[in-house]
Amino acid sequence: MMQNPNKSLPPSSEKPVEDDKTSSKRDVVRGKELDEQQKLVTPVEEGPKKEPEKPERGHQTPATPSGAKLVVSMDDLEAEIGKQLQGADSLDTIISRLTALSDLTTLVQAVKGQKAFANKTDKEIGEAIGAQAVFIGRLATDVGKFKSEVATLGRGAVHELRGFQKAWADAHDKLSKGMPVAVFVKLMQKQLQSVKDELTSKPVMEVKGGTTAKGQGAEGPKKDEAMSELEKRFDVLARKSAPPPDDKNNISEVDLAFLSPMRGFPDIFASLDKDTKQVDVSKANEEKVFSIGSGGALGFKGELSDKAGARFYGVLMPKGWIAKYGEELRERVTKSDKSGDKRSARAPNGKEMAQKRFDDEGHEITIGEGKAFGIRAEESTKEHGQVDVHRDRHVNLTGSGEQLSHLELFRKSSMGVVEFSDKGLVINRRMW
Amino acid sequence: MDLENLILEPHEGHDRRMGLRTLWQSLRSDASALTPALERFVSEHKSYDIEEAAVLGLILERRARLAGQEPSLGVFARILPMLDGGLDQELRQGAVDAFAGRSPRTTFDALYDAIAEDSLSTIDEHYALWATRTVDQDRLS
Repeated sequence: MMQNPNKSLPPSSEKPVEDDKTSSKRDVVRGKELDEQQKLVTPVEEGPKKEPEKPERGHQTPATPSGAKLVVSMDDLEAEIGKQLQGADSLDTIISRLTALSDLTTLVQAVKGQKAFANKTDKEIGEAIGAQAVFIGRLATDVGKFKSEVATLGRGAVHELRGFQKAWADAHDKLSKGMPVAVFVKLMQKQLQSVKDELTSKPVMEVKGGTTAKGQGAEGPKKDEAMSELEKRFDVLARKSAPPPDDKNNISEVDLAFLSPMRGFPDIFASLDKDTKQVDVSKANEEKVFSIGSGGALGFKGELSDKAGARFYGVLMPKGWIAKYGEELRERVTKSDKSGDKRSARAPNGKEMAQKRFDDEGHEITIGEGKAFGIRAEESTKEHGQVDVHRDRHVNLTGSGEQLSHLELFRKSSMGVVEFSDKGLVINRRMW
Repeated sequence: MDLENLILEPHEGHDRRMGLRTLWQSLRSDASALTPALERFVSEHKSYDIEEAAVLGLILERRARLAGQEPSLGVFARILPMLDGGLDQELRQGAVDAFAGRSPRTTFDALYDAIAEDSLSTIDEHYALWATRTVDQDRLS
């Protein structure tokens, strides 16, 4: 099965910004006053920094949905995405409310307006729903336990938690509108179990000796620096991204990659509602393919990205990281055409990665104990290879004892992100 | 790889998605494309992916229509999130067509009621729970 680095291309907005001058020009074209636009651009600070409180965002332009006259500041976008995709602590509100409702007096007040309890005294209502208060208390305890479990996954469960939050909001709303307490409890128990099932359905692969701890940092990227120079100091995972032809309000994948919750690996689609100015967020595809080095992304020929304006970005990983955690699969299978030539093995699925072996047309391929992903090749990535990043797989890093999603392994290991031009020069950059 | 292998023993995740989509398209003209093994898989497979669940639902919807039956609520649970969050244009259109004459918002409420009443099969309840926490009811028509 052929794969390419952009097969799950999310949309992006428009042509690359070559420099600050054209950036301003573009924003003026979008109908904004220049002064106002400049407020949206974070000032440039040259040179690497030690553990900055807020990650540096050099030359970063505002996020720009492909529909004209719409601009959103990167800081606002980052805050909004962070708000919509929260970690385990977001369960505190639910636990707190459930704990309050487990007090019979509070529960009675919460359901007092329901038609079923019209003309009933507090005492009569209490007698009718007293048992449910106990069940709500148990539910609060169960959600608390779930919080502890899910906290270990870091941001690896934000989409599942968002779903649970939504189910909670719906059920709580229905409770206030007359849903019987017993039904409310049953619904939330079922949703809790269903979310747990969703999380445990993901295959876990052990990575012997693995850790997200990073060593010494390298000198950060410079504006206009050639990617070929940057790639001497970092391993670079790169993508080419193009806008969807049918969604003018979509925020570019490149802009999303620059947000600190994404750390170079966006797993969402986002669009800006032109009327309400609200950001709509939805889950992107389960996997995303990156070329190793900028060359594979620059050389990629895509039906979509060649028609529309493409943008390029590269995630900066520690030098040597890809070789350490990547299983080389590029020349593991002898072609069946009698030439004796080798070809790349197919991409192993999550279960096969967890089992550390798989079959490719009769060839048994083994995966090293310390490996977390395969390095494969397609037409544009023959020279340096490509890597698949998965949201719905987990890794167990025995070196640090961390269990996190495959995606989070990449995010936690990344050091920064750059946008680069079709000439292979750095346009925007951000180090974490 | 034939369709059964592609769906039942996929080498890569998108093998299955591609196979299921081909199966859905085949059912337009060839009801026999849904072999007993595939029918069992399509009916019982548990997915958490909007597009995969949608195409499973669309296959079951087409099977029901070909048999002259109205698809069950569980089938609509598989398809419903595609109306709200799915980006694939072909699947989205399929979802819109499947819901022709049926209110997505009413379906959402019906899913809640069915969960509360324990009236769904295990697999259909899985999709009902998943759909109700995936779909934003306010964005449904």
